[in-house]
Amino acid sequence: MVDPHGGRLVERVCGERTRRVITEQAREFPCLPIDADLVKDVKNICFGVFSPLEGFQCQDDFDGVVGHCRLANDVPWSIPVVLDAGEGFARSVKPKDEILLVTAGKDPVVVAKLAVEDVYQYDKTEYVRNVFKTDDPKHPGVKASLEKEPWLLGGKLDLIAEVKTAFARYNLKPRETRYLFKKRGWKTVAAFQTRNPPHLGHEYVQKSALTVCDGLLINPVIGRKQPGDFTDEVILASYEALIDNYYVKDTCALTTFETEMHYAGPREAVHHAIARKNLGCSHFIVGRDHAGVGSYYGPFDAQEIFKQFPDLGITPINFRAFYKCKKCGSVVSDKICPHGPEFQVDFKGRVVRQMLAEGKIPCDEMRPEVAEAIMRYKDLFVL
Amino acid sequence: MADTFKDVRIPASLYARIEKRLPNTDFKTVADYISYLVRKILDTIEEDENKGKKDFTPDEEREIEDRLRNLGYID
Repeated sequence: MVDPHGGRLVERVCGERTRRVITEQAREFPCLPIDADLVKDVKNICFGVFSPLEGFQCQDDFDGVVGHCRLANDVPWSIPVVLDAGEGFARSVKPKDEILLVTAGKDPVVVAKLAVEDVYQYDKTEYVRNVFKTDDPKHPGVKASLEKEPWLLGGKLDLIAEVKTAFARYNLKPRETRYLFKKRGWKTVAAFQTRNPPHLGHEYVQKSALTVCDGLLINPVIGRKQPGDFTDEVILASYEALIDNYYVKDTCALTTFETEMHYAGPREAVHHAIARKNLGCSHFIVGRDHAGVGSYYGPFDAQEIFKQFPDLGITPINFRAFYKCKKCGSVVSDKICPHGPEFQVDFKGRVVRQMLAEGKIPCDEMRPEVAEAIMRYKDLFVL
Repeated sequence: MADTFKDVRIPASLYARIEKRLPNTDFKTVADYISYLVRKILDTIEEDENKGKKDFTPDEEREIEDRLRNLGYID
Protein backbone atom coordinates (compact mmCIF):
# COMPACT_ATOMS: atom_id res chain seq x y z
CA MET A 1 0.00 0.00 0.00
CA VAL A 2 1.09 3.54 -0.69
CA ASP A 3 3.01 5.26 2.13
CA PRO A 4 1.45 8.21 3.93
CA HIS A 5 2.60 11.57 2.64
CA GLY A 6 5.94 12.49 4.19
CA GLY A 7 6.44 8.85 5.24
CA ARG A 8 4.45 8.69 8.48
CA LEU A 9 0.76 8.74 9.33
CA VAL A 10 0.18 11.45 11.92
CA GLU A 11 -2.14 10.75 14.85
CA ARG A 12 -2.39 13.37 17.55
CA VAL A 13 -5.25 12.45 19.82
CA CYS A 14 -5.13 12.98 23.60
CA GLY A 15 -5.60 10.00 25.86
CA GLU A 16 -8.63 9.89 28.15
CA ARG A 17 -6.78 11.14 31.24
CA THR A 18 -5.16 14.12 29.48
CA ARG A 19 -8.48 14.96 27.90
CA ARG A 20 -10.21 14.99 31.28
CA VAL A 21 -7.52 17.12 32.92
CA ILE A 22 -7.45 19.68 30.10
CA THR A 23 -11.23 19.91 29.95
CA GLU A 24 -11.39 20.43 33.74
CA GLN A 25 -8.69 23.10 33.61
CA ALA A 26 -9.97 24.76 30.43
CA ARG A 27 -10.52 28.10 32.17
CA GLU A 28 -6.82 28.40 32.89
CA PHE A 29 -5.88 28.34 29.20
CA PRO A 30 -6.39 31.13 26.67
CA CYS A 31 -9.26 29.96 24.44
CA LEU A 32 -9.63 30.77 20.75
CA PRO A 33 -13.05 30.11 19.19
CA ILE A 34 -12.82 28.50 15.74
CA ASP A 35 -15.46 28.06 13.03
CA ALA A 36 -16.73 24.78 11.59
CA ASP A 37 -14.18 24.80 8.74
CA LEU A 38 -11.26 25.09 11.16
CA VAL A 39 -12.75 22.33 13.30
CA LYS A 40 -12.56 20.13 10.19
CA ASP A 41 -8.93 21.15 9.61
CA VAL A 42 -8.12 20.21 13.21
CA LYS A 43 -9.67 16.77 12.71
CA ASN A 44 -7.90 16.26 9.41
CA ILE A 45 -4.56 17.15 10.97
CA CYS A 46 -5.02 15.11 14.14
CA PHE A 47 -6.26 11.95 12.38
CA GLY A 48 -3.61 12.12 9.66
CA VAL A 49 -5.64 13.12 6.60
CA PHE A 50 -3.19 16.01 6.30
CA SER A 51 -0.04 14.00 7.19
CA PRO A 52 2.77 14.99 7.61
CA LEU A 53 1.26 18.13 9.19
CA GLU A 54 1.15 17.84 12.96
CA GLY A 55 -0.49 21.19 13.47
CA PHE A 56 -1.22 24.52 11.85
CA GLN A 57 1.64 25.69 9.68
CA CYS A 58 4.41 27.90 11.05
CA GLN A 59 5.88 30.64 8.91
CA ASP A 60 8.67 28.57 7.31
CA ASP A 61 6.17 25.99 6.06
CA PHE A 62 3.63 28.68 5.15
CA ASP A 63 6.18 30.60 3.07
CA GLY A 64 7.28 27.44 1.27
CA VAL A 65 3.70 26.41 0.48
CA VAL A 66 2.60 29.82 -0.73
CA GLY A 67 5.83 30.46 -2.63
CA HIS A 68 6.55 27.15 -4.34
CA CYS A 69 4.14 24.43 -3.12
CA ARG A 70 6.60 22.77 -0.74
CA LEU A 71 6.90 22.49 3.04
CA ALA A 72 10.15 23.64 4.62
CA ASN A 73 11.41 20.01 4.46
CA ASP A 74 10.75 19.91 0.66
CA VAL A 75 7.66 17.67 0.90
CA PRO A 76 5.03 18.78 -1.66
CA TRP A 77 2.14 20.78 -0.18
CA SER A 78 -0.04 23.17 -2.16
CA ILE A 79 -2.69 24.79 0.07
CA PRO A 80 -1.71 26.51 3.35
CA VAL A 81 -3.35 25.01 6.42
CA VAL A 82 -3.39 27.89 8.85
CA LEU A 83 -5.07 29.21 11.96
CA ASP A 84 -5.93 32.90 11.83
CA ALA A 85 -6.42 35.12 14.86
CA GLY A 86 -7.26 38.74 15.50
CA GLU A 87 -4.49 41.12 16.50
CA GLY A 88 -5.55 41.32 20.15
CA PHE A 89 -5.44 37.55 20.66
CA ALA A 90 -2.26 37.12 18.58
CA ARG A 91 -0.39 39.72 20.61
CA SER A 92 -1.48 38.06 23.86
CA VAL A 93 0.22 34.72 23.05
CA LYS A 94 3.83 33.79 22.34
CA PRO A 95 5.78 30.68 21.35
CA LYS A 96 5.69 27.88 23.95
CA ASP A 97 2.25 29.01 25.21
CA GLU A 98 -0.53 26.45 25.10
CA ILE A 99 -3.98 27.55 24.01
CA LEU A 100 -7.27 25.74 23.57
CA LEU A 101 -9.29 25.84 20.38
CA VAL A 102 -13.01 25.80 21.12
CA THR A 103 -16.10 25.69 18.93
CA ALA A 104 -17.57 29.11 18.23
CA GLY A 105 -21.00 29.98 19.58
CA LYS A 106 -23.05 28.90 22.56
CA ASP A 107 -21.81 26.07 24.80
CA PRO A 108 -18.28 25.90 23.37
CA VAL A 109 -16.62 22.51 23.14
CA VAL A 110 -12.87 22.23 23.69
CA VAL A 111 -11.68 20.76 20.39
CA ALA A 112 -7.90 20.77 20.65
CA LYS A 113 -4.84 22.08 22.39
CA LEU A 114 -2.37 24.08 20.33
CA ALA A 115 1.26 24.32 21.47
CA VAL A 116 2.12 27.70 19.97
CA GLU A 117 5.40 27.71 18.03
CA ASP A 118 4.97 30.74 15.83
CA VAL A 119 2.88 33.92 15.70
CA TYR A 120 3.20 35.82 12.42
CA GLN A 121 1.60 38.18 9.96
CA TYR A 122 1.28 37.61 6.24
CA ASP A 123 0.70 39.49 3.03
CA LYS A 124 -2.86 38.59 1.99
CA THR A 125 -2.49 39.90 -1.56
CA GLU A 126 0.63 37.85 -2.21
CA TYR A 127 -1.10 34.86 -0.59
CA VAL A 128 -4.18 34.95 -2.82
CA ARG A 129 -2.22 35.74 -5.99
CA ASN A 130 0.02 32.72 -5.44
CA VAL A 131 -2.59 30.26 -4.20
CA PHE A 132 -5.56 31.28 -6.35
CA LYS A 133 -3.73 32.90 -9.27
CA THR A 134 -6.05 35.87 -8.86
CA ASP A 135 -6.85 38.57 -6.34
CA ASP A 136 -10.39 39.01 -7.64
CA PRO A 137 -12.62 39.26 -4.53
CA LYS A 138 -15.44 37.64 -6.53
CA HIS A 139 -13.50 34.36 -6.43
CA PRO A 140 -15.01 32.54 -3.39
CA GLY A 141 -11.62 31.31 -2.14
CA VAL A 142 -10.06 34.75 -2.48
CA LYS A 143 -13.04 36.31 -0.73
CA ALA A 144 -12.80 33.86 2.19
CA SER A 145 -9.02 34.40 2.43
CA LEU A 146 -9.31 38.18 2.42
CA GLU A 147 -11.87 37.95 5.21
CA LYS A 148 -9.47 36.01 7.44
CA GLU A 149 -7.82 37.68 10.41
CA PRO A 150 -4.39 39.26 9.77
CA TRP A 151 -2.34 37.09 12.14
CA LEU A 152 -1.53 33.38 11.97
CA LEU A 153 -0.68 30.99 14.79
CA GLY A 154 1.42 27.92 14.06
CA GLY A 155 2.16 24.90 16.21
CA LYS A 156 1.38 21.27 16.97
CA LEU A 157 -2.16 20.19 17.85
CA ASP A 158 -3.55 17.54 20.14
CA LEU A 159 -7.19 16.60 19.63
CA ILE A 160 -9.32 16.79 22.76
CA ALA A 161 -12.81 16.15 21.36
CA GLU A 162 -13.92 14.91 17.96
CA VAL A 163 -16.80 17.09 16.83
CA LYS A 164 -18.90 14.75 14.72
CA THR A 165 -21.05 15.76 11.78
CA ALA A 166 -24.38 14.29 10.72
CA PHE A 167 -22.48 11.92 8.43
CA ALA A 168 -19.95 10.60 10.94
CA ARG A 169 -20.60 7.01 9.88
CA TYR A 170 -19.03 7.76 6.48
CA ASN A 171 -16.08 9.69 7.86
CA LEU A 172 -13.41 7.00 8.10
CA LYS A 173 -9.99 7.95 9.37
CA PRO A 174 -6.87 7.13 7.34
CA ARG A 175 -5.97 4.15 9.50
CA GLU A 176 -9.50 2.81 8.98
CA THR A 177 -9.53 3.23 5.20
CA ARG A 178 -6.04 1.76 5.06
CA TYR A 179 -7.18 -1.25 7.08
CA LEU A 180 -10.28 -1.61 4.89
CA PHE A 181 -8.18 -1.61 1.71
CA LYS A 182 -5.79 -4.16 3.20
CA LYS A 183 -8.68 -6.36 4.33
CA ARG A 184 -10.16 -6.29 0.84
CA GLY A 185 -6.80 -7.07 -0.72
CA TRP A 186 -6.63 -3.77 -2.60
CA LYS A 187 -3.03 -2.87 -3.39
CA THR A 188 -3.97 -0.09 -5.80
CA VAL A 189 -6.93 2.19 -5.10
CA ALA A 190 -8.30 5.01 -7.25
CA ALA A 191 -9.88 7.92 -5.40
CA PHE A 192 -12.80 9.79 -6.93
CA GLN A 193 -13.63 13.18 -5.51
CA THR A 194 -17.10 14.57 -6.04
CA ARG A 195 -19.53 17.29 -5.04
CA ASN A 196 -22.46 15.94 -7.06
CA PRO A 197 -24.68 12.87 -7.40
CA PRO A 198 -23.40 10.51 -10.09
CA HIS A 199 -24.55 10.59 -13.69
CA LEU A 200 -23.55 8.00 -16.29
CA GLY A 201 -20.40 9.92 -17.17
CA HIS A 202 -19.12 9.77 -13.60
CA GLU A 203 -19.85 6.05 -13.51
CA TYR A 204 -17.91 5.59 -16.75
CA VAL A 205 -14.88 7.41 -15.32
CA GLN A 206 -14.99 5.47 -12.06
CA LYS A 207 -15.31 2.11 -13.79
CA SER A 208 -12.51 2.99 -16.20
CA ALA A 209 -10.29 3.61 -13.19
CA LEU A 210 -11.46 0.32 -11.67
CA THR A 211 -10.19 -1.57 -14.69
CA VAL A 212 -6.62 -0.59 -13.75
CA CYS A 213 -6.95 -0.44 -9.94
CA ASP A 214 -8.02 -3.08 -7.41
CA GLY A 215 -10.51 -0.79 -5.69
CA LEU A 216 -12.32 2.51 -5.94
CA LEU A 217 -12.80 5.01 -3.13
CA ILE A 218 -15.68 7.39 -3.78
CA ASN A 219 -14.91 10.28 -1.49
CA PRO A 220 -17.38 13.18 -1.64
CA VAL A 221 -16.41 16.48 -0.08
CA ILE A 222 -18.73 17.21 2.81
CA GLY A 223 -18.85 20.71 4.18
CA ARG A 224 -19.86 24.27 3.50
CA LYS A 225 -21.31 24.52 0.03
CA GLN A 226 -22.61 27.15 -2.35
CA PRO A 227 -26.37 27.81 -2.61
CA GLY A 228 -27.80 25.61 -5.36
CA ASP A 229 -25.37 22.72 -4.73
CA PHE A 230 -26.88 19.30 -3.99
CA THR A 231 -27.13 18.65 -0.26
CA ASP A 232 -24.72 16.22 1.38
CA GLU A 233 -27.59 13.82 2.22
CA VAL A 234 -28.63 13.64 -1.42
CA ILE A 235 -25.08 13.02 -2.66
CA LEU A 236 -24.48 10.18 -0.20
CA ALA A 237 -27.86 8.54 -0.84
CA SER A 238 -27.36 8.71 -4.61
CA TYR A 239 -23.97 7.01 -4.35
CA GLU A 240 -25.35 4.32 -2.05
CA ALA A 241 -27.91 3.55 -4.74
CA LEU A 242 -25.30 3.45 -7.50
CA ILE A 243 -22.95 1.19 -5.55
CA ASP A 244 -25.73 -1.18 -4.45
CA ASN A 245 -27.05 -1.60 -7.96
CA TYR A 246 -24.13 -1.20 -10.36
CA TYR A 247 -20.84 -2.12 -8.66
CA VAL A 248 -19.34 -5.52 -8.03
CA LYS A 249 -19.41 -6.24 -4.28
CA ASP A 250 -16.32 -5.13 -2.40
CA THR A 251 -14.74 -3.25 -5.30
CA CYS A 252 -15.88 0.13 -4.07
CA ALA A 253 -16.09 2.06 -0.80
CA LEU A 254 -17.96 5.27 -0.01
CA THR A 255 -16.46 7.54 2.63
CA THR A 256 -16.46 11.30 3.10
CA PHE A 257 -13.76 13.97 3.10
CA GLU A 258 -14.89 16.67 5.52
CA THR A 259 -13.20 19.84 4.44
CA GLU A 260 -13.71 23.35 3.20
CA MET A 261 -13.64 23.86 -0.58
CA HIS A 262 -11.20 26.63 -1.54
CA TYR A 263 -11.92 26.51 -5.30
CA ALA A 264 -8.16 26.90 -5.87
CA GLY A 265 -8.23 24.76 -9.04
CA PRO A 266 -4.82 23.18 -9.77
CA ARG A 267 -3.32 23.74 -6.34
CA GLU A 268 -6.41 22.28 -4.72
CA ALA A 269 -6.25 19.22 -6.98
CA VAL A 270 -2.81 18.47 -5.54
CA HIS A 271 -4.12 19.09 -2.01
CA HIS A 272 -7.02 16.71 -2.63
CA ALA A 273 -4.64 14.08 -4.01
CA ILE A 274 -2.39 14.31 -0.92
CA ALA A 275 -5.38 13.77 1.40
CA ARG A 276 -6.41 10.68 -0.59
CA LYS A 277 -2.84 9.36 -0.54
CA ASN A 278 -3.03 9.51 3.24
CA LEU A 279 -6.27 7.52 3.10
CA GLY A 280 -4.27 4.83 1.28
CA CYS A 281 -5.10 5.59 -2.35
CA SER A 282 -2.48 5.04 -5.04
CA HIS A 283 -4.33 6.89 -7.81
CA PHE A 284 -6.42 10.04 -7.98
CA ILE A 285 -8.93 10.80 -10.72
CA VAL A 286 -8.59 14.33 -12.08
CA GLY A 287 -11.26 15.56 -14.45
CA ARG A 288 -11.86 18.79 -16.25
CA ASP A 289 -11.51 21.96 -14.14
CA HIS A 290 -11.01 20.08 -10.86
CA ALA A 291 -11.89 22.30 -7.87
CA GLY A 292 -12.25 25.25 -10.19
CA VAL A 293 -14.83 27.98 -10.21
CA GLY A 294 -15.89 30.41 -12.93
CA SER A 295 -13.19 30.80 -15.58
CA TYR A 296 -10.21 31.45 -13.32
CA TYR A 297 -8.36 28.31 -14.44
CA GLY A 298 -7.84 26.53 -17.72
CA PRO A 299 -9.88 23.30 -18.07
CA PHE A 300 -6.78 21.10 -17.76
CA ASP A 301 -4.57 23.19 -15.44
CA ALA A 302 -5.40 20.80 -12.61
CA GLN A 303 -3.97 17.94 -14.66
CA GLU A 304 -0.87 19.81 -15.80
CA ILE A 305 0.23 20.83 -12.30
CA PHE A 306 0.95 17.21 -11.31
CA LYS A 307 3.97 17.24 -13.65
CA GLN A 308 5.72 19.53 -11.15
CA PHE A 309 5.64 16.84 -8.45
CA PRO A 310 7.63 13.71 -9.30
CA ASP A 311 7.71 12.94 -5.57
CA LEU A 312 3.98 13.29 -4.85
CA GLY A 313 3.55 9.55 -4.36
CA ILE A 314 0.06 9.31 -5.84
CA THR A 315 -0.61 8.91 -9.55
CA PRO A 316 -3.17 11.13 -11.27
CA ILE A 317 -5.58 9.49 -13.71
CA ASN A 318 -6.54 12.27 -16.08
CA PHE A 319 -9.81 12.41 -17.97
CA ARG A 320 -10.12 15.16 -20.55
CA ALA A 321 -13.71 14.76 -21.75
CA PHE A 322 -16.43 12.14 -21.52
CA TYR A 323 -19.78 12.18 -23.25
CA LYS A 324 -22.35 9.96 -24.93
CA CYS A 325 -21.55 9.08 -28.54
CA LYS A 326 -24.57 8.35 -30.73
CA LYS A 327 -22.40 6.31 -33.11
CA CYS A 328 -20.71 4.21 -30.39
CA GLY A 329 -24.03 3.92 -28.54
CA SER A 330 -22.36 4.37 -25.15
CA VAL A 331 -20.57 6.70 -22.81
CA VAL A 332 -17.03 7.27 -24.10
CA SER A 333 -14.03 9.54 -23.65
CA ASP A 334 -12.16 11.52 -26.28
CA LYS A 335 -9.35 8.98 -25.95
CA ILE A 336 -11.37 6.02 -27.19
CA CYS A 337 -14.04 7.48 -29.47
CA PRO A 338 -13.03 8.42 -33.05
CA HIS A 339 -16.34 10.08 -33.99
CA GLY A 340 -16.85 13.76 -34.55
CA PRO A 341 -18.71 16.34 -32.49
CA GLU A 342 -21.89 15.72 -34.48
CA PHE A 343 -22.25 12.41 -32.63
CA GLN A 344 -21.36 13.74 -29.19
CA VAL A 345 -23.99 14.43 -26.56
CA ASP A 346 -22.64 16.16 -23.47
CA PHE A 347 -23.98 15.52 -19.97
CA LYS A 348 -26.21 18.43 -19.10
CA GLY A 349 -26.01 19.03 -15.37
CA ARG A 350 -28.53 21.83 -15.53
CA VAL A 351 -31.14 19.64 -17.29
CA VAL A 352 -30.57 16.81 -14.81
CA ARG A 353 -31.06 19.17 -11.87
CA GLN A 354 -34.20 20.64 -13.39
CA MET A 355 -35.73 17.22 -14.10
CA LEU A 356 -34.93 15.90 -10.63
CA ALA A 357 -36.43 19.02 -9.05
CA GLU A 358 -39.60 18.38 -11.10
CA GLY A 359 -39.72 14.74 -9.97
CA LYS A 360 -38.79 13.34 -13.39
CA ILE A 361 -36.15 10.65 -13.95
CA PRO A 362 -33.46 11.86 -16.37
CA CYS A 363 -33.14 8.41 -18.01
CA ASP A 364 -30.60 9.48 -20.62
CA GLU A 365 -28.21 10.83 -18.03
CA MET A 366 -28.68 8.95 -14.80
CA ARG A 367 -29.44 5.45 -13.49
CA PRO A 368 -33.12 5.22 -12.45
CA GLU A 369 -32.22 3.86 -8.99
CA VAL A 370 -29.95 6.86 -8.43
CA ALA A 371 -32.62 9.32 -9.55
CA GLU A 372 -35.22 7.62 -7.33
CA ALA A 373 -32.87 7.79 -4.33
CA ILE A 374 -32.42 11.51 -4.94
CA MET A 375 -36.12 12.20 -5.36
CA ARG A 376 -36.92 10.65 -1.99
CA TYR A 377 -35.60 13.89 -0.51
CA LYS A 378 -37.77 16.97 -0.27
CA ASP A 379 -34.92 19.46 -0.35
CA LEU A 380 -32.37 18.52 -3.00
CA PHE A 381 -30.34 21.71 -2.99
CA VAL A 382 -28.54 23.94 -0.52
CA LEU A 383 -30.55 27.12 0.03
CA MET B 1 8.14 33.79 -0.15
CA ALA B 2 10.59 32.81 -2.90
CA ASP B 3 12.46 29.52 -2.67
CA THR B 4 16.05 29.68 -1.40
CA PHE B 5 18.90 27.83 -3.11
CA LYS B 6 22.26 26.21 -2.35
CA ASP B 7 25.11 25.54 -4.75
CA VAL B 8 26.07 21.96 -5.62
CA ARG B 9 29.05 21.00 -7.78
CA ILE B 10 28.55 18.30 -10.40
CA PRO B 11 30.97 17.05 -13.08
CA ALA B 12 30.98 19.25 -16.19
CA SER B 13 30.37 16.19 -18.37
CA LEU B 14 27.23 15.34 -16.41
CA TYR B 15 26.08 18.94 -16.64
CA ALA B 16 26.57 18.84 -20.42
CA ARG B 17 24.68 15.56 -20.68
CA ILE B 18 21.71 17.00 -18.78
CA GLU B 19 21.84 20.25 -20.72
CA LYS B 20 21.69 18.28 -23.96
CA ARG B 21 18.45 16.64 -22.88
CA LEU B 22 16.85 19.91 -21.79
CA PRO B 23 15.15 20.73 -25.13
CA ASN B 24 13.24 17.42 -24.87
CA THR B 25 11.75 18.39 -21.51
CA ASP B 26 9.44 21.04 -20.08
CA PHE B 27 12.29 22.44 -17.95
CA LYS B 28 13.87 25.80 -18.60
CA THR B 29 17.12 25.30 -16.67
CA VAL B 30 19.48 22.48 -15.80
CA ALA B 31 18.94 23.26 -12.11
CA ASP B 32 15.16 22.79 -12.44
CA TYR B 33 15.63 19.51 -14.28
CA ILE B 34 18.13 18.19 -11.74
CA SER B 35 15.82 19.16 -8.85
CA TYR B 36 13.02 17.22 -10.55
CA LEU B 37 15.16 14.14 -11.09
CA VAL B 38 16.61 14.13 -7.60
CA ARG B 39 13.17 14.48 -6.01
CA LYS B 40 11.93 11.58 -8.11
CA ILE B 41 14.85 9.37 -7.11
CA LEU B 42 14.66 10.33 -3.41
CA ASP B 43 10.96 9.49 -3.37
CA THR B 44 11.69 5.98 -4.65
CA ILE B 45 14.49 5.49 -2.12
CA GLU B 46 12.34 6.70 0.78
CA GLU B 47 9.46 4.47 -0.31
CA ASP B 48 11.77 1.45 -0.38
CA GLU B 49 13.03 2.25 3.11
CA ASN B 50 9.46 2.15 4.45
CA LYS B 51 8.65 -1.22 2.88
CA GLY B 52 8.02 -4.05 5.29
CA LYS B 53 6.98 -1.81 8.17
CA LYS B 54 3.95 -3.13 10.06
CA ASP B 55 0.89 -0.92 9.56
CA PHE B 56 -1.13 -2.07 12.58
CA THR B 57 -0.64 -3.79 15.91
CA PRO B 58 -2.98 -6.74 16.64
CA ASP B 59 -4.93 -4.57 19.13
CA GLU B 60 -5.37 -1.83 16.56
CA GLU B 61 -6.50 -4.37 13.98
CA ARG B 62 -9.19 -5.68 16.35
CA GLU B 63 -10.40 -2.19 17.23
CA ILE B 64 -10.58 -1.01 13.61
CA GLU B 65 -12.15 -4.22 12.42
CA ASP B 66 -14.93 -3.93 15.03
CA ARG B 67 -15.66 -0.36 14.00
CA LEU B 68 -15.68 -1.14 10.28
CA ARG B 69 -18.00 -4.09 10.89
CA ASN B 70 -20.36 -1.92 12.96
CA LEU B 71 -20.43 0.66 10.18
CA GLY B 72 -21.18 -2.01 7.56
CA TYR B 73 -17.90 -1.73 5.64
CA ILE B 74 -16.94 -5.37 6.24
CA ASP B 75 -19.05 -8.51 6.82
